[in-house]
Amino acid sequence: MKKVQKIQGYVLFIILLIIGLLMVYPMIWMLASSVKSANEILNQPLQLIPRTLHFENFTNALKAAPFMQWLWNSTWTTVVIVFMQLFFSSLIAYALTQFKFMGRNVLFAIILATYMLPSATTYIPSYVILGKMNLINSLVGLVVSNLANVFVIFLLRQSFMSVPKGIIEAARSDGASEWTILWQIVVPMNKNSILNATLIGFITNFNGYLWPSLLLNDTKKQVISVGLNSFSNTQGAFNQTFPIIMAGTTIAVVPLIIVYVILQKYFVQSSKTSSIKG
Amino acid sequence: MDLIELKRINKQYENKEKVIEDFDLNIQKGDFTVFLGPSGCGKSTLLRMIAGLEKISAGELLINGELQNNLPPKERDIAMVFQNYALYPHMSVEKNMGFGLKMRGIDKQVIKQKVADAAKILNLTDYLDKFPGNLSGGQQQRVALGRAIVRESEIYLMDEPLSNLDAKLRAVMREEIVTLHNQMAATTIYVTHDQTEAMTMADRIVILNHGDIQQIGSPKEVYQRPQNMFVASFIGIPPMNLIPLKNVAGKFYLEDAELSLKADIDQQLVFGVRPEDAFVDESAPLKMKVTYIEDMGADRYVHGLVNGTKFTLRDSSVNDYQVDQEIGVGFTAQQVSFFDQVSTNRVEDNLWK
Amino acid sequence: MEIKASKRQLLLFVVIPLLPLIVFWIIPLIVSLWLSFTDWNYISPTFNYVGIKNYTQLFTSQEFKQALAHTAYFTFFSVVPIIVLGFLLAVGLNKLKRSYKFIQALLFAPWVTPLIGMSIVWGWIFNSKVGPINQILHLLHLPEPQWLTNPTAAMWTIIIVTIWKNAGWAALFFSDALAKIPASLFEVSDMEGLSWWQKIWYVLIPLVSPTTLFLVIVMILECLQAYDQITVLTQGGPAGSTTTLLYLYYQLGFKQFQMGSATALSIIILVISAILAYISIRMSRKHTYY
Repeated sequence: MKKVQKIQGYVLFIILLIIGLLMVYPMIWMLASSVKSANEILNQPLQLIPRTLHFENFTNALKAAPFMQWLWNSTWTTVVIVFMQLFFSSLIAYALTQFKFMGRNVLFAIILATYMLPSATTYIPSYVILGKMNLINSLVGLVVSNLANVFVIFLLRQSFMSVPKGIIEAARSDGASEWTILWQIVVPMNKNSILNATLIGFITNFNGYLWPSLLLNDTKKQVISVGLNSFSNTQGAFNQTFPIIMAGTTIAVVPLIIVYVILQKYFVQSSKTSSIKG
Repeated sequence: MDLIELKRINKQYENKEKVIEDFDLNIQKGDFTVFLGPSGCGKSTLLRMIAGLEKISAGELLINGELQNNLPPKERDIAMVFQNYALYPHMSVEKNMGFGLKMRGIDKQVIKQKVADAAKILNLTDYLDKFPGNLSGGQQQRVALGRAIVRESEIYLMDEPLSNLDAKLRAVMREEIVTLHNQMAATTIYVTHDQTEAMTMADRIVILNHGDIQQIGSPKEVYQRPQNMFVASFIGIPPMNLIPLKNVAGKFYLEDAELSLKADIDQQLVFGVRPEDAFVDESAPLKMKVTYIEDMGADRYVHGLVNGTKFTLRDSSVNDYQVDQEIGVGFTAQQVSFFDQVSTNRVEDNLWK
Repeated sequence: MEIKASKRQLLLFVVIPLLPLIVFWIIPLIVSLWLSFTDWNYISPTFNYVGIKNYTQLFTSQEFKQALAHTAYFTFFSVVPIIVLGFLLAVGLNKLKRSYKFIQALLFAPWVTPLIGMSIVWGWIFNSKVGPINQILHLLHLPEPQWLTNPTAAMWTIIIVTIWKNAGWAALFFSDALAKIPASLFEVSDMEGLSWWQKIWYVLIPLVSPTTLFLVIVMILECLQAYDQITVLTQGGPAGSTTTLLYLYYQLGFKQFQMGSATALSIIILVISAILAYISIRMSRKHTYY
């Protein structure tokens, strides 16, 4: 009986391992193709391991398009967006859970009602508003239009609710201001939720495409997703350009893979908090 | 004939110490047996082995004389009640109670009737359409009992079924379970760490510690004649007072007072007396310094130190004394117990000269 | 106790942080609704109110009907496999005694990597001549579809990529829900004599149904908003066969500058989403057991 269970265990493990490897096959295939020559890919498409390494694909890709600039644009806008979203959302979430004020329930109802709605509905008016602010084709415009995130407010509000009332009252009786209570007590107590919101925010903003593609035109001002897609389109789907496109894609994807490998356990945990992307 | 026989039962988890070693026990039809012991004593493991939820590492389990070791749980004629009730949250009370029968392919009308009967006994008739999440803890426990009842098994196993209820409800449920057991002429094995449950419900208590039987007996027996020091200190609230006797060349001293005992010259003895068998007696040579007085209304528990050893007596007199006062302690000679200090076992013979 | 906030506190904690939310979320939602009753074309400074003409036009246009049908097809055939696969993977994961974390990390990786980049990679994997998929089909002597140029196959390419991205993510939720089921429920079902498939059918599936409901709704919303894989792989083609509602919105608004029609379409997408969100909130209240 025990033996049967052991064999079943192995079979299960192997099935799941195969599915898992299929899931990462595109990434592996991308990495392999990025260092192959075009001829090798065309002649032996199923051969995964390259025979000779062609790192010049990367130098060619970097020459053809400003990948490093795009990565930098994506990184700093994402960091600023995530930070500001957390900052504003913490304030609102604190007010929603600790203050009494007129319209509080209405405000929460609006947040609750809109957090599942498609952001695409806002694009046309937002575009016009950014135009009036002279922020079209500008990374600052991308940041400004992303400062609000209903999902983060909702997430933090739910999390802040679980802070025991006694702790807030004790802090107040110690003479702490509301500002101090929020940043020194409530936020540290909810660091897991904050971390979750940070990781989800990082992924969704760094990988975001549609809105930045509408907003940004100049090659130099692209974020990595938009830049990569235009690079891939300009190179064209010709067999000879295939390795350089894979090299470019690798440049765009690898930073996230590295972040993911390092922070894997946090990602798995926080993804579950995310119900929908911001 | 014995309904359940456990013969040299062993339980050992992979590469770990044995939890239960060579455990023997026979249980008769109609008995209400309670496994009592502190947490980690192996009582639940035993129960789960009988149920078939845990594998028996070695030994034999017989029910009605038939070997059960390799039978899956469903083929043993056993119903079990779990500590956390284990009700299916997505099924109504009625569905929960009838589910086991449904899985056995019993006719729908029959199930309905049996569930209705059980619900009547348990006062659940008005709740049959409700879901477990909408019931109180006590009601959920009744549903769990009802689910076991409708199975009409020969044997009922209960794993700490009352431990999630509040004290008042527990007292009510104790009575209900015993009544049910008698009505159905069932054989019940009940696991608990609560001695009040054991004392009030059991026909027979099996006291366990570290996987070993410490004593088997009726509530009265285990209370009055604890077989060893573990039982003496485990049963009774507050437990039995235990004071080691000094042995000076075959003469036994309880502190300064000599007790005339006929024991071996080199035997080391422990003297035991229950708080209610001790009393305040100013003339007694045994002195206790009072540290704390617990007034229970009808009587008082007087806690103190006898030469550094904790001692408690129950006093229903109107005597007046304060904390820090020294009082004399007397006891009824026929109500005391003696234990061997080395083996910790009870010294059965009457030791008084 | 909650305290009554002073004016200064309200300004600091509520008014200022709400500004971006109002400017880039609330106002645009309202403006979209308003624009959907106009014929604004973005370029001209003037526009007329046209009532519900944008909506009636949409509802009668072939384009819209097709996009609606494509969206429904795409959503259904993405969501069902995601849920089924996610559930089965989770059941497997929770039975796994070794390497749980490693397998989980593999399954979850697609959710983290950028969909634009990975769609470019998928485009080459599906390449009908040199892509590995058709190479393998060739070795197995199976038909080799023109993945990106045949209308039906193109839709299935999009669907496969969508399933690939989300199945592991769904598995994570299911695995969490399964782990929360008390062990004693399975023991009860052992005592009641359930076989393994009866356990799945009578115990597992009903008990994870709140998670299933949640995932179905979130995945439908995700499919309604799917854009990256479509724009990279097919750009709505061939012959509009992968044009979903959102992709049509993008074309109407940002290619043809028919802002009235585009916003009307976005309001329709919003209404569909709102209905789903409402259903999910209502049903989750009804189906929460713990």
